[in-house]
Formats: sequence, structure tokens, C-alpha cells
Amino acid sequence: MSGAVSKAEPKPRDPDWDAKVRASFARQTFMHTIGAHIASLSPGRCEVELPFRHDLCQQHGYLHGGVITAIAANAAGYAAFSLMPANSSVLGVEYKINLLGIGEGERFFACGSVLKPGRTLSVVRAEVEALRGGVRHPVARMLATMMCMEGRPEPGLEVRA
Amino acid sequence: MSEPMKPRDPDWEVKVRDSFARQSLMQTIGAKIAALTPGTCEIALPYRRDLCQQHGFLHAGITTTIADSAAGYAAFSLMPPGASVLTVEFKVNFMAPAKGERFLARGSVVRSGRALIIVETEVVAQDKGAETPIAEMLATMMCLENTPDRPED
Repeated sequence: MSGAVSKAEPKPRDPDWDAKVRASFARQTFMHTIGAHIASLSPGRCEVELPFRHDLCQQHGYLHGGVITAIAANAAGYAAFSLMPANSSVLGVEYKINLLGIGEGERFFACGSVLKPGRTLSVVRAEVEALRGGVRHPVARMLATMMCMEGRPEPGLEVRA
Repeated sequence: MSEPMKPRDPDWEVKVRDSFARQSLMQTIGAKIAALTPGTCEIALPYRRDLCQQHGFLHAGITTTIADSAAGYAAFSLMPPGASVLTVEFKVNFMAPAKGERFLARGSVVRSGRALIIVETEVVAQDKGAETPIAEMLATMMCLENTPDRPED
């Protein structure tokens, strides 16, 4: 998806944005636990993919709303983090999610895109879709506020000036 | 705490516990019902290293997951026989890092309507005997009447 989009891509403030985002994601043990990975990444946009698993379900055997929310929050958080300066870290302040359809599908895609990259607060939208029989169905829509903690890099991601 | 609410299903407690037991995600993460009354549900989750975000704190998705289940079952406890519960939407504010030995999500029904139930969930972290509020959720749950609370066969 990167490159050939109609709207101008936001400009990352950290030349190492791609490596930084992937390294941070890799340190989230919960993403390993559920089997989620980054499917695509560009400045201001992050897509997280999760194959369906029977041990992540609610009482009807569909994907639990908490897991749907977790991948949406991560897609939102890393979309925001991709635009943050070096030596900063990202923090979720709040989000609102509407569940639009049941978590039924072979795999799930959460796509986060930054609406406003602020100096301290970024507003991010995330959409979750389920791939069911070759068709993508809407599952959830999130609006999130992410905070940039400047001068507080994640351990191992410090950059010397 | 305020007066207990009146359940519409005499089997409300068995029904809630049975439904919770069928949420495979709760077993996967090690969450349990710690307390249950009509209109309230408390879920406890011990800290685990494999449920973390990049700083080693509990992942916000997990905090939200136990808050959502606590809200859902607080609502479900008041629903009539033969109904099932569905999350419509929620908003969560994160107030402190999820740092602690154990986490508790306390859901309590604010208003129980026929179709929609408004539930508030507070999540606290317990560490060395002290309790810190880490998140607050306001959720809308839906009551689906005459819909079994089990997978379709």
C-alpha cells in the first residue's frame, strides 16, 4: 500500500521509523501470544493481521471483542508511533470502539491511520475487518487518542544525537 | 455499594458462570470470576509476562478484554432466560500503566433497559497490598432475547 496513494503521505520525523515500529511491536509479548503480526506499514498507517484461533473466543465461538479491540489499538498505536520523533515512546490515552459485526472469519485485519499527528496527542482511526469466504466484512471501528512521550525512548531504541 | 438489582432469571448465576467458562479467551489468559452479584461482576487476572506491551506492563488490549467481559457479565446477570449478551460499543480511558501482580475489573450496571444495558467497569492493579485504578470503561451491552448463549450447532 505504501507509495501509490492519492493523498500525500505524512512525513515521518524519525528516519528509522520503520525499524523502530517493528522493534517495538516485536517486544509486545501479547502479540506473540495471540499470533498477530504487522501486515503492512507506512508513515501514519499500520495494518495488523491476526489469523482466527479457537482459544481467543467468546462464548459463541467467535473472536472475543477484547482481541478485536487489542489489534485495533495496536494498529492505531503504531500508526501514531511511526510519525513520532526519535527518542520518544507511545502511550494509549483513550479509545472508543463500536463493534459492527461478529468476529467470524478466517483472518482479521486491523488498519490504523492517523487523522491528526499532534506534538503531544495524535488522533487515530482504526478499522477492523474479517476475511470470510474471500470477502472482507466490517467488524469494528475505533477512534483513539495516542500520546507521544518525548525524550522517553523505549529501552533499546535510544538514538544519540 | 448500592442495593442489589433484581435478576429476571432465577438461574442467573449458573448461566453467567457457564457462559464465562465457554469464553476460551478467558482460559487462555488465565482470568476468573472473583465476585458476582445481580448487576455486578468482578474478574481477576494475575499478571503474566506473555500478556504484555513493549514496556513489560499488561497490554491495554488485555485490560480492555477483562473490562469488557466484566461489563458483559454484569449485564448478562440481569437478562431474562433465553437471552444472550452482545457488546455494542465502549469507551476506555487509561489512567495509569498496568503495573501490578494482579488486576481486577469491576463491572456494575448503571442502567438496565430492555434492549440496552449501560455498564461501568473500573480496572485496578494490585501491587504489594495497594490498589491503583488503571482504567475506566463505559460500555453499552445489548440483550438479544430468544437467542441462545451458545455456539450454533
